[in-house]
Amino acid sequence: MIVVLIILFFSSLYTQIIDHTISKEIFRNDSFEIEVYSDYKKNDMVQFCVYYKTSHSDIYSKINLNEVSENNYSCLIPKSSIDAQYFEYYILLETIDGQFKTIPENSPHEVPISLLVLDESNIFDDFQNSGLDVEANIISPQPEQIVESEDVFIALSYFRVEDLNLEKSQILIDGINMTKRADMRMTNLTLRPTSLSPGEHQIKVVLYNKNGVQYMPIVWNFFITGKEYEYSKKNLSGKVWNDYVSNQVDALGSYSNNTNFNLDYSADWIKIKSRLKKSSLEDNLTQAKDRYTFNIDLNNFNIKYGDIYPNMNQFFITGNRVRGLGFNYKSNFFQIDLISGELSRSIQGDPFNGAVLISDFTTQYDEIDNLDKDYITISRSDYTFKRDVSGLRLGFGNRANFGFNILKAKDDVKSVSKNVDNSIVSLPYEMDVFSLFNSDTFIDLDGNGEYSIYDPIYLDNDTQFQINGDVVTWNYDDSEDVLVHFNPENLPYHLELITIKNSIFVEDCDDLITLYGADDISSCFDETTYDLIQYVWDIKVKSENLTSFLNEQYNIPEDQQIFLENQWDGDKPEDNLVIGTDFSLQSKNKNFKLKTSFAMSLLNENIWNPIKSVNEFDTYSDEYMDCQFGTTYSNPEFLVGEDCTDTYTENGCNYSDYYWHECSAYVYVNGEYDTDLNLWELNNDIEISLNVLEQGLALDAIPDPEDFEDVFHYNFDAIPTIPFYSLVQKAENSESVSFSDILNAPEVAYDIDFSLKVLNNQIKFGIKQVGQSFNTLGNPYLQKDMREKYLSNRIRALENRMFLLLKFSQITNGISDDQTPDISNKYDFNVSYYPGIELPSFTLAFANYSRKSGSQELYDVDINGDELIDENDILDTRVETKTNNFNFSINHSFESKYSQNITLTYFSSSKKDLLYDELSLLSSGEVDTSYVSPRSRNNNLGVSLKTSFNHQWESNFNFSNNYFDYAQKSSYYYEKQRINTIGMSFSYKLNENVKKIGAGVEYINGSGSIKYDQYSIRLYSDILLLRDLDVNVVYNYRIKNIVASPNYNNSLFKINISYRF
Amino acid sequence: MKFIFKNKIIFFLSISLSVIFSQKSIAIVTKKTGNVDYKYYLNKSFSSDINFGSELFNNDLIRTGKDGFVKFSYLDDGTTIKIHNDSELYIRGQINQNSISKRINMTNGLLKLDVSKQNDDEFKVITPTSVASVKGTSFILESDSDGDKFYGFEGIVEVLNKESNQIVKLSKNLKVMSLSDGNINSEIITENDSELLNVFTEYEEEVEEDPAQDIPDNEGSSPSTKELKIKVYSPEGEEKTIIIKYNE
Repeated sequence: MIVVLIILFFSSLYTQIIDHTISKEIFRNDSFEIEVYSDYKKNDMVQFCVYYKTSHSDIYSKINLNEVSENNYSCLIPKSSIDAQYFEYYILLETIDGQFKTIPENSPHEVPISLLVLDESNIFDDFQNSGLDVEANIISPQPEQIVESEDVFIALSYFRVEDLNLEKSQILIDGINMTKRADMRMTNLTLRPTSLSPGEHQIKVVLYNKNGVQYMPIVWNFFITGKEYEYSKKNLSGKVWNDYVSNQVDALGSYSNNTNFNLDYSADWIKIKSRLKKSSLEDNLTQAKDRYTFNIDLNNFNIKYGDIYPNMNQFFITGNRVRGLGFNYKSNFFQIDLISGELSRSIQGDPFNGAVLISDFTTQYDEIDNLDKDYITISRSDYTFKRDVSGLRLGFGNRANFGFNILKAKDDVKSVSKNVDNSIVSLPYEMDVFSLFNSDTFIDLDGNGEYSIYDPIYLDNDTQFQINGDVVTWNYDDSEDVLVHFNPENLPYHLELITIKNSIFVEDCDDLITLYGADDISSCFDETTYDLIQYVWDIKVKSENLTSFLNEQYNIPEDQQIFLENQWDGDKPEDNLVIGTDFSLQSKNKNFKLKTSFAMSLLNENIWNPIKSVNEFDTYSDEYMDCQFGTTYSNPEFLVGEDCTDTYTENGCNYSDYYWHECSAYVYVNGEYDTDLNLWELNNDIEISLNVLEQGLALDAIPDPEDFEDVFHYNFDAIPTIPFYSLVQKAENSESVSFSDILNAPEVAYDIDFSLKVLNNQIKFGIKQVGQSFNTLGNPYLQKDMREKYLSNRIRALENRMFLLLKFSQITNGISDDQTPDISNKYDFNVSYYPGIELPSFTLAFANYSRKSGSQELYDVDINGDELIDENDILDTRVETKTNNFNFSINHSFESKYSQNITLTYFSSSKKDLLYDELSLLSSGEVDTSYVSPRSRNNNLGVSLKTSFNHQWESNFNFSNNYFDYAQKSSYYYEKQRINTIGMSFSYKLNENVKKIGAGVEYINGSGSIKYDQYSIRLYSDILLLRDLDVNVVYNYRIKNIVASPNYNNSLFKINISYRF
Repeated sequence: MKFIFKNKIIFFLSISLSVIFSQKSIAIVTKKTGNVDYKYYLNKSFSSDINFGSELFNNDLIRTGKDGFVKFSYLDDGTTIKIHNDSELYIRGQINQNSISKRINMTNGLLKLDVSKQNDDEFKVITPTSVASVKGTSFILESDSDGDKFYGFEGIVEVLNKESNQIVKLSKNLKVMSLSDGNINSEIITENDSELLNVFTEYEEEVEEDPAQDIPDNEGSSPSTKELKIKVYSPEGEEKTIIIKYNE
């Protein structure tokens, strides 16, 4: 039993986590990898997955996270899911003990992580007009030429230009960087874009010479015929469409219906875009699902109103939705970005499910009435405060740009009401005052789910069980038994008998006799977990009747019912201030770039607590009223007797007690208060000489929080309590403060990124550090207490047909822990080779990751269970692993009777446990069966073939094989899983109206730890009903048969109807 | 296993080396439809490895099938050649400092040439029967075993008959016939040539400028000017009309 308690004790010390660094970049129509860290054991997980969706949709798709190295998981979001303006997701871990861990932690389904999907152009720099002409021939399409969409082919010849630097040269279509898709050669470039809509388009080619100097851009326009071309000519255009999605995933069914309306107006001087979305999921119990945005673009000025997604800086706000106003002005030498709105709206909570609750019950002695009185505390829960946010960035300069940033986010405490109309209040049956009708709690030894004669009573509530034949009764087994105790004029709103189950681990069955008076333990087995069962009455009362109900039924008068005005049970209101700077510098030829940003934060976790005065800092961290914050003394034993500081001026003190007066401590002898002079006369009182051990801060060095209460609500709930405390301490002690002292302050975050282009190399290196006390509510999922250093070189070779990437990064989690930080070293080597349009392209990647964390610590408890407390009681939390990953893929388009495209991918990951030999054996030399090695192996093979028979018929075939195993074979937790997937589909274009109809089938077979078969069929169509009315339908049905588990019939039905005008 | 690995390295290196040591391209393919065979100048056999964006080199050979069509452009000045069905030709070009001396060696077939103004060297089109020297013009060439027919749209082309060494100049609205027996003469494009011109509208799916704009409006100035109207239909059923004005 002791061992169990120790394990519980230490497991609470080392809380398991899931952690995730949110990516800064996600690109449209490019797959996206989500990486998550978790130190939960795999066997403790029921599911570990990512729910994701686009901002267009309200229905999440689910994808499981696969372990790629020790404690590191990842999944790949298909590029087809990244086609909207924003990509939203959250991470869910369900453990076997029924816990749910999520990132984001709060309301992830309603407020998921939201990333702005970037077009390639968003990472593209503005071009300069150098005045350097380039001799180039536009070959296709000709300027202002009108072409059919299937004939769009871009070709530019720069035959006569000999000193080109193709690595820098770029091509944009309509401002979108298409360089990666283009075939850039020494004498010409070609590009066949596939997804341009009808209408006018602009091509822009920017060439550089080998000295890095940019030529004048070559810009020309052309047209693609079709209806869109007609739309693009309109000043006023729009689209209305409706999406209906019905989804059944295992036991979870959901549906949504979204209606969208876009209206755009365009003129030479102004562009207005309006977006409206009405969702069936809109609910005042959750964050808003409806969306509206109005965007007015006046060239240099841009105004947005509604749901906006500002992207100031990762240390301030990135991608989080703000409902409010955004303003942007940009000129060559001055930029301003301003946001004002709310990060979240207020939610009052579900009146039928916990919005109002009874949070506490106490009994206090009333000295006036000379008796004990019961007090009930009523509180609020399940609410969300409106969180206001304001942000500003002022930027100065062009190639050398300096920015000042400030972000202020604060919860509006008045946005949540104390009273919730028509709410239902549940009386907590576990509270003493409401526990009268609860049954005894018994240990269900025989596992039949109800009390049996030999089940020991674990907790006696004085409601004796009785068994009559097969019938079990107790004092309150019928509602009448309860109601008879109530005033019939004021009965509860709801009364229901429910069964509460907990569990108990019985290490030794004899304990049941000694501890719980069991008579018969024949059905008990040592070291087994049994259910603890209790029957309780769930009593609910309408809030408007609560006062009278408690008064009449439980004899708690109104004046003993305390309805809290604040300090409720739910989230506490917060205040956050982040200020910082950023600086960027780039050379004229852009071969050198430097970007850096610095920010510091203040977070108050409970602004219900009042703002503190400076004097209150005196005794915040100690009891010395020495007018110092945090000063400690080496001889506090000199403070003998009682501290009579509170009373010495009125009643004096007992002889030899001590008191604090004017920042000094005195031993009381005969001091007295002179009422005439209003002064304390020390007389013979003796000042105590205290020797400073560690110098704190003088109170007069601390600014008065009341002076800046409009800027930040400051009290002892603030993080940090004293900003830059260690620096101020040093200054107080006349020690020098270095720049690294500032950077390493816990409330500081910074990053530095260098980029250098030399010959064919692009070298990047930098560092990012986020202190453990840095917080921004604008980006609440920013990983804290970490440092990342990185160095990479991207090499282009063979006329840009080959790319090599060499990268090293070191990530340290827990930088505040000097002893045992978690350090990961990662080495990556990637090769991509694109020999040409007609030849296969290859990518090859090797990765080597090593991780080291934890330590061996000696404890004064019996860690090893040998019933001795000695030097062998070492808690070993060390983890040391090495992971090798290998990834290979080949893609080839070719003609073999028909137009074909084949993709082959292979991925292999092997994680070695470097401490296995040391930790898998006990000191006795025997195998330690309790040790679970973090080793793992993962292999994936995938093949897909796309065949275009003609412009009407197209087919897809795919096959994948996935293998995974974890832990050592001798471990109870060893598991392995193999999943084979095979599927194919076809699509057919009948004519311009029936644009696509198709079907697909897929079979998945799982073997190993979980055995299952899944069959699925998919039907889809895209039909133009009328000239501008398009209908898109998708239906997917999946039958999942799991061995030894329930089977599921899952389905997805989507229909989209759109009309353009 | 080692053998396979070695082969992979050889394959990998051969692709890399072919990229590194290949000669400079002189033209690129900007359109291709239907069945087209292509012989890279270093290869001995044909392949179908030609598509949008393919680079063409000196001495490359292109052969179009019954439904084949290729359009390519020279890199120095954008001179564009459209090769129609059942044609075969060598693409030749000598790279000088700032330009390419261009030459087309055609055995048979149908071409439309839009030749940009040539600075130093003339653009030459050589058939078994004729040699056409071009400074900058737009014309159509139809060649078979009987001889060649040149249709002028713009500028001047000098057509030399190899057999007779006679030279006839092709100009706007004229047709030059150079025959294998040495005969060469010119005449005005007539309505009988509409079938041939119709072929071009079928293949040229781009919505190009009306060729009639290339022909000066002589109406009123010459009573003998007549109009040839050709109606063509896009896949969507849209009707277009090509008007060719000619002198009777």
